[in-house]
Amino acid sequence: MTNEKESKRTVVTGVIGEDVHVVGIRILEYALGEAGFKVVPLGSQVSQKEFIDAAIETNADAILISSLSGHASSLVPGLREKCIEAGLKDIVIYVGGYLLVGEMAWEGVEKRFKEMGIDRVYPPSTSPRLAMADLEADISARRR
Amino acid sequence: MKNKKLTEDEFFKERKEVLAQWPTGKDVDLDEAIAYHKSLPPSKVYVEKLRYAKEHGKIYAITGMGKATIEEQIELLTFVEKEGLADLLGTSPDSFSRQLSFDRAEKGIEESKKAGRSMLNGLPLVNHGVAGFRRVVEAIHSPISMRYGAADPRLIDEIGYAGGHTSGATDALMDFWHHHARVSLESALSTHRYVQRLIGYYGEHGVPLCASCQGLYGAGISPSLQMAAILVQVLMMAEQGVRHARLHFAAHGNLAQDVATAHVLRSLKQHYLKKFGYDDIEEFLSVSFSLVQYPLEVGSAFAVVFMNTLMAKLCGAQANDIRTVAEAKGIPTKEDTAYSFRTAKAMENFLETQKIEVDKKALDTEVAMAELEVRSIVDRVLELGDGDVVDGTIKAVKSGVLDNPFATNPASPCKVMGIKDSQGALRYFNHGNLPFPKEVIDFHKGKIAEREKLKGKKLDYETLVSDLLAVSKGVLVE
Repeated sequence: MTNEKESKRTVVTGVIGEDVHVVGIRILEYALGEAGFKVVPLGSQVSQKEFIDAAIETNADAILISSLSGHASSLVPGLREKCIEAGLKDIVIYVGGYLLVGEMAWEGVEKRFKEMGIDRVYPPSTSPRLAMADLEADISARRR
Repeated sequence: MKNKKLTEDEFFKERKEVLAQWPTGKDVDLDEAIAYHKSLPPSKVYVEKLRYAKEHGKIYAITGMGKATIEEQIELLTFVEKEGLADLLGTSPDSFSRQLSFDRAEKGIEESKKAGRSMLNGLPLVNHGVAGFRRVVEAIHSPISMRYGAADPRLIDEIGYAGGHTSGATDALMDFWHHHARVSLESALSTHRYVQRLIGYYGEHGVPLCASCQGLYGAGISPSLQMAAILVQVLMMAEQGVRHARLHFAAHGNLAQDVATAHVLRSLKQHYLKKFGYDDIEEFLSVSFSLVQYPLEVGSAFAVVFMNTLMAKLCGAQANDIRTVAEAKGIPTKEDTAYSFRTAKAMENFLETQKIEVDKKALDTEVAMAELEVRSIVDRVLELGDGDVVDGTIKAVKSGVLDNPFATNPASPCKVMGIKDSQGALRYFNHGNLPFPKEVIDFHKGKIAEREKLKGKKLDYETLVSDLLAVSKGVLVE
């Protein structure tokens, strides 16, 4: 194993857009910290550029985005492309929360965000345990 | 930055810049506004009404209300006053105004007029100006408070008070932690110091305005942290000349702990004001049942209003800070608001003449522990600032001596985390950098261990989530 593979997994976390609801992401950050991840919390009202800048600066493995405003479908597009442009070719990106206003079925929501290049999409009230297990697996696969 | 009263020169110099932010600022004339306030009957003065409540054991429900136009605002407030039997009313400015985007608020007013209904989530006070809001004051009978948070509340408050509000908030820590992700604490403290001085100025000229402060959203955290965040700001308010305050705290549902919070807040407010030689501040208390999500199911939502009123009664609070029973569904209608007020009023009537108390032994334990915790935090803040509470607060927030589990602002360490014990009282699951003596840490550990024993498993973040959502599901602790 190289040093890089042994190094602590680093994740950038934050709430995208105008939203100031942070309880969900704070619980996840807490759980990540307890599980040995290095967490870079950006708080709320975070822009795409701020996520990318923080990911570059900290050499992050993943960006975890929370959104509760229901406006995520206009806030997330273009993020994957901008990450690639910035040289973050392999970065894992997750999105979770109340993503879309309205009654759209979850499968539709998930498909829509996956088409934007988001690796995994989580509905509200997902256990941090599930997201962390996915994260371990996805980061290991990318680092390999 | 130090805790020092702004001189008249400093205040009026800053005031020029504040009023220049939007054209309606030029219509604010302090002398004229003071005369206007003096012409208001006592029944429209917040402090007078709360004082009456304190002397007569009354509890008044309060909440925020806001529509885009003055006409709609009058319709809403009149309805809540008449059908909801409200004693106190509130104005919530819209979120564009809170971000100082007065041009976007202006567009919202135009769109609302076209649509024939409010297209904003609150009343754009600045756009309507002093004369606009006075139409509301003249149309209703009760005192009105401004209810909102903003990184820079100066212009909204200038116009709001001159327009006839007799109460508002001044809460730099709350606004720094929860309402804006990018504002620095220094900047929030500075804009709020201005507002405190403005309230002080009115007071010095014979107009008693009531300033509310809650320090932080209390959800999910043991009460001592909220008390400390309130108390450091009480010292700042006192320095700028604030004389009447509504101290607001979150109650979590373990009634012994909730009543203890009221006791400790009252006694330590006096202790710290005296320590610095300030005259006492006339304090009123308000309480809200802390919850992250309002119950979707309407039966539980009514129970929350009942519980909130019971808490206010036991705590000796004058104000019962409720949200409407339709909170979880979206922006409430005027009927939702009125019925919620009516519910609180009926509950208050049932309890009014009765003496009820929580268990004395449990209360004593909670008081002793909370007092020790709050003193540890506030004394350390003062030590960090070499006796200066503003300097100390800035250092304390950076280092997590004053912390918040759910701050939206990344400048906060967010190292603390709360969890419920088996009786539903909030304990420190992680006390982060709070400067607690071993006795306090052991007490909290012991309470958490009791719940672990009952549940037969270690408490972890899954428990944190379930605790945060318990009240929304109609239970205190699962």
